[in-house]
Amino acid sequence: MSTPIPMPSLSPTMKEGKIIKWLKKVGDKVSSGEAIAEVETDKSNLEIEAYDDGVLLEIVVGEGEMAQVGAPIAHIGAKGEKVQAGKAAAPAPSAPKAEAPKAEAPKAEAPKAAAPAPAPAAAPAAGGGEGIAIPMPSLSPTMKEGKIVKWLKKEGDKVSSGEPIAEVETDKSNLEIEAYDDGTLSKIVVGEGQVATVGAPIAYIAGKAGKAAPAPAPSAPKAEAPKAAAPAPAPSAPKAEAPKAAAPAGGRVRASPLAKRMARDRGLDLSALQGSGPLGRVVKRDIEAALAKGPPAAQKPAKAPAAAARAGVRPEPQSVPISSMRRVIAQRMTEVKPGVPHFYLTVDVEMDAAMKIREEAKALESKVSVNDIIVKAAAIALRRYPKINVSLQGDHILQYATADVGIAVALEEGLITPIIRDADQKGLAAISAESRELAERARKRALKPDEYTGGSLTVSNLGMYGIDQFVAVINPPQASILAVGSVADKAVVRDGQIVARKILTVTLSCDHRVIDGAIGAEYLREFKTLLEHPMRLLF
Amino acid sequence: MAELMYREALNQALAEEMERDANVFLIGEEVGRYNGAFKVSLGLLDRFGSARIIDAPISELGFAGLGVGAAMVGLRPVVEMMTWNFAILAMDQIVNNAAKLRHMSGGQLRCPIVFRGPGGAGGRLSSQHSQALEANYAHFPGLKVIAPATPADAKGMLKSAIRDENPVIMFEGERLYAIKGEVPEGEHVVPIGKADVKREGKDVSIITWSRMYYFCEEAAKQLEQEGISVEILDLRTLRPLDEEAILATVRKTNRVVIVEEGWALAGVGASVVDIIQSKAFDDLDAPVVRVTGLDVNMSYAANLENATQPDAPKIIDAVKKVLYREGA
Repeated sequence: MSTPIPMPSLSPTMKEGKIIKWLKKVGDKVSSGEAIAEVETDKSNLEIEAYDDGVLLEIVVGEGEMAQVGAPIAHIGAKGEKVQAGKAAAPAPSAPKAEAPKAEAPKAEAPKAAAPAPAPAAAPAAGGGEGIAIPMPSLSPTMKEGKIVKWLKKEGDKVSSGEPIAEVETDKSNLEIEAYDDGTLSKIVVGEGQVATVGAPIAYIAGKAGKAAPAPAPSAPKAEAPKAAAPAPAPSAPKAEAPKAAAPAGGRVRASPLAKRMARDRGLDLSALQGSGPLGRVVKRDIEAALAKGPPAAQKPAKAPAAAARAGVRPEPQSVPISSMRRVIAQRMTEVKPGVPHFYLTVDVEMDAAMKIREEAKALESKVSVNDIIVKAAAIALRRYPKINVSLQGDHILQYATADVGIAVALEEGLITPIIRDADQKGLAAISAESRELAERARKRALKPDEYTGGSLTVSNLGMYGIDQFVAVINPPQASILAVGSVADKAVVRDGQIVARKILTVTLSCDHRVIDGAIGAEYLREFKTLLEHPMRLLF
Repeated sequence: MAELMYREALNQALAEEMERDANVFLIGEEVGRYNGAFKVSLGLLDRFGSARIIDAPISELGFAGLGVGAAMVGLRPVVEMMTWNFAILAMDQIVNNAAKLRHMSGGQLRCPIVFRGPGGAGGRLSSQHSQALEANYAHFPGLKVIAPATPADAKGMLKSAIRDENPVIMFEGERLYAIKGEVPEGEHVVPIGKADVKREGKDVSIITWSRMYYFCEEAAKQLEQEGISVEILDLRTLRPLDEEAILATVRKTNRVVIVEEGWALAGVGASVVDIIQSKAFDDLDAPVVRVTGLDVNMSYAANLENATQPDAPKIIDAVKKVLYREGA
């Protein structure tokens, strides 16, 4: 019997993963423990291993595609075996795979189904017995419908990929539509002078064999069409956009009016969502879940910048697929700000003494950053003020017994906060080495989940960007975060004299549900004292 | 605040308005010496005399017409129907005269009259005596239709009705008369045309009125234990409908159940659905579900009578259906 390989959960916050690369292809032998694919999670890139021996029968989720945790990404089994569980319709991997899920799910037009599988898949939605539907392409961002000015081919004509078949008038201009498949123009649905909504089929192309789509070639144009960015419509693109325009044509997506409005307002592709309502109806909660995750990766921009440039039009802004990491950050930050009542405490710290430590360390050829000293001071202060070393966990408060400090590391795609465990007990050199090593691996997205989860407080430092001071958003389940600015020479009054001092401004954001102002203030006072008298870091 | 029965609250409203305005009088079958079939007019004959608390013979069309005539010449009649089932006999006076006098006279005549009495199922009174007929009256331009659920609203709305310059139809709910609730003393006036959020919630709105409100509360309490937060909007006035309140609750919860004692076809709830779908379509996350009386004549048998009407379990099922929850 074939066994599905589910998308594994590789981090506590992981809800879905993107297949970066398949390390095996259909038909390959795999053995238990062998890496079969590379997956991008919200935090890092990891390899997925096979749990069983067998032959890779089918790849369900192609490279660059997303899958929910637990969803099957491939099937393995004995050689020549058929894939179980509804995939039976696909006897061999080369069979028109797109058809199989369509038959079983109401989510017929979901791009997942139509997305390119590594094996040659059948090209876009087949139009009943007529062949492959040619949808009205979206030729401008504002285009909702197009008028067929002229058919350049008639029914029964042979067409080849890339050949213009019709002239379309959009809201902006007249353009030619090209075929992206070889075959025969089997039926014209929208006549000359008639208007069709974006995504609605305007004609059908029958494959060489007659009715069904030709299997061998189409995988290539299909995969490449969006990339080519030619005026030729990418087959999947208009399909994905049709529901956005709320067009009843093309694939009908069941969605509540509210869900449709929300999707329209947020630019979400309804057809990419799995509805949780009756008959797969997309409802508010599905939209909210999708918004939390961000738009689906399958929604590739299908703009035609090259064509636009040729026509002398200013380039359109490009929509960039959101990374898994950014998606999770967006979701969590949205939850945190209204969900966790923040309050902020700001204090100026005189850093002259602490800065001397750096110089002394330098003399010892040991690299210690201001941040390392801050991490150490933050950790010791945590030890001394355990009331701030807490986290609200639903109906109880977790009181941590260790002083684990997170350090915010900015990556291109977002922020990650590796944890320096027991930072209060480590020397500055150790903290320095560890934080550099963690940051390095964070940038390579090679951190293990236990290296960035837990911790009671995060230090977020924007001093290196010349930021004087800022307030940071708490990274739950932590209850506080320390926003650290730059150390700058400032004029301060000491003993009635204006003198220059190296001043650092830090702002502590606290979760007011568990930390009160006085607790935060005491903690911050201790933190300040430790830095102003760094000798105390030793005691 | 005194805790009064619904009937006592009405009695208080009548007495206060008769005290306040000498033009107010009450006419109906057994309203005087018998103190009212449901004791709403208890003690009023002794207090105001037979010129203002008038026992009428069994002649709904007649005394309804008398009331309309009295209103035309400046009095403020309150016409009690022993039940709304009997008022069908007086339909012509209510619909053709009371509702239209202002229009037919080009604004020269007014008809400040209140027709009031119990509606809905009583309890084993069978099909001729158990009808929730609100929808019939809500249909006619020129009438205002109110159906308060609580004693406090009953008092406040009857006072508003008596003071209104137009004919007001008041449904009281035969099974509501003995229900108790806190009622503000003295000048407590509840405006006609304003619905009331009787219970705040966020997951689903139940829109209802009159006696059904109590089933909705019961359902809401049970649903709350399952983690479903129910908002209950008591319409109180069925004509004119409080569109603003209806739309506000739809926009808040995105899901609506309407509970109505009467029959589904052409019911008041159907008009509420129309308002929702035409003005808040984009706020709906699920089709509106209606719970109504079954489309049959009311049975005499107690078990069948209960089965015919909405109740808490049916409302709970409807809420789960509209929330797409399991088990619905």
